Amino acid sequence: MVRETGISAPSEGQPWLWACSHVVLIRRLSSGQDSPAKLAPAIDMHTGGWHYAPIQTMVIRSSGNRFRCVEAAGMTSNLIVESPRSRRALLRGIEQMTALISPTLGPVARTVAIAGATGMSAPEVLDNAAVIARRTVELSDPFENMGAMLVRQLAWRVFESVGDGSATAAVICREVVRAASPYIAAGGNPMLIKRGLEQALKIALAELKCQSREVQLPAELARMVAGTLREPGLAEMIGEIVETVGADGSVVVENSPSTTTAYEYVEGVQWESGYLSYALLRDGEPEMRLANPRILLIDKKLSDVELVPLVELCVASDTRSLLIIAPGLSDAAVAFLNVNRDRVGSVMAARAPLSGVQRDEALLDLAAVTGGRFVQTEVGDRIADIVLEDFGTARQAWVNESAFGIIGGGGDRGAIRQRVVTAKAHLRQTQAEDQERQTIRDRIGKLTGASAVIHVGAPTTTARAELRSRIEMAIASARAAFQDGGVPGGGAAYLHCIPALEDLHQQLSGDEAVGVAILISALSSPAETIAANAGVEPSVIAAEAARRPPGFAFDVRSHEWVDAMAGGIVDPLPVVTTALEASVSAAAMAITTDVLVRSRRPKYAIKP
Amino acid sequence: MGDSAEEYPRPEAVVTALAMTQAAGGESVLFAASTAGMSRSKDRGRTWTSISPSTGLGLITALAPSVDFAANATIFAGTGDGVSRSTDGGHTWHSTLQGGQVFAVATVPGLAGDDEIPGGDASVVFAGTEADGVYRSNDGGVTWAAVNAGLLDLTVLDIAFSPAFTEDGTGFVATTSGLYRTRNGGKAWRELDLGFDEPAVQCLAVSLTFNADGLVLAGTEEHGLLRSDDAGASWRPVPKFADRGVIAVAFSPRASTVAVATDRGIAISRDQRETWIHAGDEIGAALCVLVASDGVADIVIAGLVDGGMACSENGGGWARVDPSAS
Repeated sequence: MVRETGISAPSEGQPWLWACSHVVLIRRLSSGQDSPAKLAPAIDMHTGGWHYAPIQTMVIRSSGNRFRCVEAAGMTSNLIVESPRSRRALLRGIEQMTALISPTLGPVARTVAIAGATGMSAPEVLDNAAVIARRTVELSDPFENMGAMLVRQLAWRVFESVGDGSATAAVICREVVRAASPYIAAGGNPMLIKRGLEQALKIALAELKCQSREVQLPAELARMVAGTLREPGLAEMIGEIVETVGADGSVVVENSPSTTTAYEYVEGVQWESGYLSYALLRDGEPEMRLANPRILLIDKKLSDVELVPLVELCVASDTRSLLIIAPGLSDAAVAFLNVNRDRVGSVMAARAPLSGVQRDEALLDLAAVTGGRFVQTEVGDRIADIVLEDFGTARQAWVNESAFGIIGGGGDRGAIRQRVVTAKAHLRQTQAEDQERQTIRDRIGKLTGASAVIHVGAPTTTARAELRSRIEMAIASARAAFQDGGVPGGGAAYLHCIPALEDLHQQLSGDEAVGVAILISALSSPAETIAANAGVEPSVIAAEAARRPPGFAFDVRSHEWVDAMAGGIVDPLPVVTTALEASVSAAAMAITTDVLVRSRRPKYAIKP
Repeated sequence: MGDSAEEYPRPEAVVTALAMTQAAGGESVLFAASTAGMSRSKDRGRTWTSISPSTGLGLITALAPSVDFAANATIFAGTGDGVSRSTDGGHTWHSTLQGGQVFAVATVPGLAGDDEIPGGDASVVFAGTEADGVYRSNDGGVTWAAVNAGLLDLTVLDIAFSPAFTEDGTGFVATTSGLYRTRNGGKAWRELDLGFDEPAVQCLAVSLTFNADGLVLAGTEEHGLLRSDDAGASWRPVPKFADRGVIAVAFSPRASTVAVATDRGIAISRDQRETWIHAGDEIGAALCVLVASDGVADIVIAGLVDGGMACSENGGGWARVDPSAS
């Protein structure tokens, strides 16, 4: 198939860079002639070098200064690499990527500096394994790159799932592949090894769950995140907040212009959605407070005609305070409310929060909180059918330019609890993006009546961004531990799985037993890497761990073996299990891959 | 019987709130708020003296002496209109928080750096209101702010705090539809699962050895007395109270005796809360209860629904006491 594209030509002799798939790049030579038909030159943006990509057919037309370049069928050819070369290449790639991120593992970790985008930019200094992996987009060798990208994706997947554990996952994956590769090269069966790994993984996950303990108290949560935050005050703040709002509660992290970090709890229900018309405010006041209001929740923009029966309802019931939450009000409707202020009393209208499906969910939440009914004209509800009982109630409500709040809603507690249960179930099941998950968490926080807001401040923008990242990681870890418990950290939990795996090893034979032995060996690698990063000889850690009671971990700061939970060396159970599962899965894929195939096509680059 | 009021027996005053603290000399002093005003006892409730026959506060539903009463003689009272404060040991009163019924008042030590009011009271004061949740004052009652983050029910019937509040920041709030706990000094609250659907929790008591035993008692309207031994994480009903509504509960200073006022009388436990004796069925329901101790004997004092008070010393019989005696 041939596809035409058109683009303006560059100046004569000027290299021209173009990014889109399967388009042949043409360089106009200084002689004015086009490049040879069978090869298409292109510039590699990463290396700055030229190369020619082979093509089979190409048609070029030009009109004046305008080139028409066409994609030719069959222009690509593949490169194939088989075992054992493929395995060696994969392992080299895995080693390179893991070497980038393993220095960040542990409380006495190191940082990685990545060169800036331009020659004049300062390097970016990072200690977040997932971000470092994400920044590394490609190795020069395409087959080693496949191994590197395997670890890159592993690190990012673990980070997105549980907020931590990327370096741990990479280290375990590397050790498994490293141990398996020579065995497979010598004739071992990778599929049987994989089977052994999977059986060992099941045992290890069960052992990790047995080691789990509750982490509920603010002080326990604070000790757990202290290593991430490196500031005791911030750790105490996170511990208190997570214990207060719960695993699913809303914690909003915002940038603050201040140089210090502060936090606050938001009482009642508050939505960042302000008034529909400032004309409804009382003169000179930026905010209106309503005492004991009736609250109307509706999904349509209201006109003055539609408001008439609603206002009459309120007047007839001697309502002195009315809050309307709707997508909008017509100008005539605003005027109507102003004119009838003497009859109704205090009247205010706030914009319905969010949009689409989330807006409807939010209004259903508000209906539960206030004891009213969400009037959904989109599904057939009619304004004419609205009765006084459809209005919600509250002790207080307030509305300003950017937000509205309800305190002491008159809703049925059972209905509110049911909305919380539904939202939590949705949160657990959803595969949605972070933003939608945060929206659901916000709704849960509002329903339970307590949300927290952290205002992150620092002396510089860069410092604030880095601090904000650490705070967000700490919140994710604390939530995970609060919900599912914690295990001894520092890699100790993995070490304590080894006795059970040795029992399994005794039961199996052949290459399956080899798979178990490989995982046993790999489980020492996180603890050893942490020790090495802290300047401690790693080889003694695994041996010593076997002599220590369960629940003990090596504190690389004090160089002592301590009760992990008491000493705050705790990892959230979900982080530990997710890192292990993901790493074994990635390693199993690597060791069972015999052939690597890569499409050789012109290097593409972005038009500068 | 004649037609004039003087010829009828004077009804006994109904005692609605009891409180105990230590005076300047180290001795215990008890206060009782009743329909006949404010009374005080210096002999652990055996005899009472009226100190303010007419407080002007109407019905007092809660009393809480300042944590530094020995120095400043300050008491806080929850009333039908808010919170009032006396700085002369209960003789005269001034309103400090107005706007609605207050069902519960509690004082805890203030944190370092708290503002001081004249007289040096660094108490943090919490007030539980009928419709506005919990209010907190960090300056001994001069200014107040609502602290309701996490509270879904703003009708607060009782408040109780850990004896080590300044260290653990732990407290509990009883509402008409559940029980809430704070672990951050009252900045926000989390609902606790009592195992029942929206139970009305009427009273609370936190053990004086809470740090060690995590013991909290909660009295409910329909589910009797509930007990937690893990600082509120889990709860179980106390069997002997299954068919009673619990109105008030109190620990003795020695922590070994617990008294519970039910809708049918008083129940007392003297052995670490494991066994209970319904010792006061003959005196009827009580509105409030308190346990004083002289180091040897525990004296249970109950304000009765029918008026007056009853005292029982070390499990002995009950003696009627008139709090309005001069």
